Amino acid sequence: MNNILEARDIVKHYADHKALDGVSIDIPENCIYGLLGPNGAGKTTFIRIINRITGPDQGYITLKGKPLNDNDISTIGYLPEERGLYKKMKVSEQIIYLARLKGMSNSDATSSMKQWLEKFDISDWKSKKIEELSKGMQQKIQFISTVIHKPEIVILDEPFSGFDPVNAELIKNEIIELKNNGSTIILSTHNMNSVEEMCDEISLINRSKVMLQGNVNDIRRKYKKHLFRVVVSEDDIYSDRNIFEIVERKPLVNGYQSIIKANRGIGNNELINDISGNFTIECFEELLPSMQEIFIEVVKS
Amino acid sequence: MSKIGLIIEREYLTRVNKKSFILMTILLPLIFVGIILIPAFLSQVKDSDIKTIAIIDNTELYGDVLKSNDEFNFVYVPEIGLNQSNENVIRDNYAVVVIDKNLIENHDAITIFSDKIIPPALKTEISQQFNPWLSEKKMEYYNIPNLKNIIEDSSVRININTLKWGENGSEVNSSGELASLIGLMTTIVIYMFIFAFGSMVMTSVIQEKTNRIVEIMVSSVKPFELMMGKIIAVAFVGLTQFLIWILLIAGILGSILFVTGMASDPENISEIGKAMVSQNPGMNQMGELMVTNPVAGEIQSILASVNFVQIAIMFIFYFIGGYFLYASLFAAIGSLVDQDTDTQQFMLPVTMINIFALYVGIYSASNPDGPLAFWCSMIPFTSPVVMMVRLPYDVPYWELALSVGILYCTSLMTIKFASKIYRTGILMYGKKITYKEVFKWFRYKY
Repeated sequence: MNNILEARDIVKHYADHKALDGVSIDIPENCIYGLLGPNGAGKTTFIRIINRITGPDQGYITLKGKPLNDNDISTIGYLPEERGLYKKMKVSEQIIYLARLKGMSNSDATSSMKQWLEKFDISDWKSKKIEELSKGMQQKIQFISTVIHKPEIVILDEPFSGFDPVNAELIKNEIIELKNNGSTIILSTHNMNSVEEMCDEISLINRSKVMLQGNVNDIRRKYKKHLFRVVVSEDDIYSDRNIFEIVERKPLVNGYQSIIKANRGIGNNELINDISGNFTIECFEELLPSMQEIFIEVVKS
Repeated sequence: MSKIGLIIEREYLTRVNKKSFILMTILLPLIFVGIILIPAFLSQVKDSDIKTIAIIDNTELYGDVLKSNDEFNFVYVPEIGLNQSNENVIRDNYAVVVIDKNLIENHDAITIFSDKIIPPALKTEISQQFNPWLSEKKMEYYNIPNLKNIIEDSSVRININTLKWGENGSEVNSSGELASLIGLMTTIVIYMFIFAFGSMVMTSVIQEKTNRIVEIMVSSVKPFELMMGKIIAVAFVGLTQFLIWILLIAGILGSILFVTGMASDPENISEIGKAMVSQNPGMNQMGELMVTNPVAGEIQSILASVNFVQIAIMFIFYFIGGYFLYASLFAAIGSLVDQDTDTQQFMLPVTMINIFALYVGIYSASNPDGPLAFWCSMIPFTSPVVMMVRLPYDVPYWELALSVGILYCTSLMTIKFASKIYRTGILMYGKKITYKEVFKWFRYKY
């Protein structure tokens, strides 16, 4: 898989602190890339550098192998975390204006806008002013403005904030559809469930540096705690050779569930053999740590 | 269309389509015309009472000096013991003038008594009648033959200096007043335009920053394009309003004059004409209307002596230069704050320079060639306002060229300087920004 965007050793200083300190991130083409990190870690600065809102003090960024330049911003769509629109403008004027600033022609922007409004079933808002809309409605307009020019890279900073669950689901499906249509999505969020559900790869930035980087499943495996969920028919699970400890147990309708922690160096098969010698296994599952747990562990250390 | 073009288009159209803009543009000329016309008409209605002034001349030297006119009737009363019956005299007359001693030796030996507040017109009238008479008498005291002629002869030089406009004395006088009036008007107008539209830019920058649209905008366009687009659009709004006002005022005054002016007496027209001419350079056509009567002819010749085309062109030049200078500063200030109320610490120096410029401008109306007027019409932060006041007094071309050159160079530098502050400021939220920090921003790389 080719990298659509490569950032190398990005350093950015502000007056009194270092916002980014040697950050290198490779974003593969046509994936959903999660950008994680606590508030103030430097995510927004990094996103602004990609958008060419600000420039790095050191390091460089390439887009499809070539240095990023000003013309590239028409291939990027950006939904900032703190978002706003011109309150006095009509919905249609607003969307067309932002689309034309990204380089679309008036007629393309108009027809594309109509399609999106129909898709979100909000065509009758077209001539309403932005200030007449609720916050959730404004978010939808904002989302349309971000993707209307069919950007190759879509950068979404906390895209789900301000949406009710129904609309959050709608946006999530739109993001997945964008990916299926060939776009690359950079998702900056604190919502770890959506990272697990959607992201292929992540970078976790903390205190201006990349702390953790890679494929989401690889990372979860790397941070696994050797915890397993076992359901057996009989009561009181135990280990013959003391290769695991019981962390928690509770009775279920069809048996007894235990969470066990295997000792270091014990493989899954060895564990199953040990248990199956004495018990009938109904269910056996390795518990991978959630991204939430990994996030907290990495940031706290 | 280029991005900056799109920004200009949007910023311009949203402003001129605003109800407040349309209302202001239409109503203000009406108010303006009202302000010009109402006093002009009111001044026609004069106090018809002739006031009787009693003169008590204890010296018996000035029996025939004060001549009555249609405002004051001067009556010489024989000397009465001032103590016994002056109450009667005061009751019967509007005022009593008492002359105690020889006025040539004692300039303050004349006093006006009245039980009312004495109008300045009376004082002026008396001194105007007395002064030349006394001067002449004093000259006779010197006992130099032909002194009067000598003095008149030597005063010719003074006359040559003031004869710049025309050939006869009265014309010189009235066009001097007209020049200072035109200068003052254009100064105040340019001052208002620069600051009204400059602060419009600031408000708009603050709005974009507070409703957070700015981050979306700068992900599509460069901060410099956004700032310049806004500044240019507002400049067009200003020029649009200026042109509409000129046309409307000319139109309204023209039609009023056409309907009423022809029927009334020449005096009337000349009053309105003078008031009107002093306000509005675009009124040459009206002058043509009045060419049929003698007073109007004089006005027209005064009009011809002032170079309105030059003033109008320089107005636009100085408006654009001064506006860009201040609007870019205002844009930078707007980018530094989160809300309108935080602007004070940065506004203070700008406001002080502004007000200084306006005061120098007003002062220069009476001394248009003085060193203060000269230097302040070269310093770019004050030159648009101060130069407008000097323009009707024939400023040399090299001064104009130098002043405009300095102004435009400084404007360009200020725009560059402001854009550096702007691009950092618009994305800074929450913390109060100090001057020290602003200077650090110049080192940032973009």
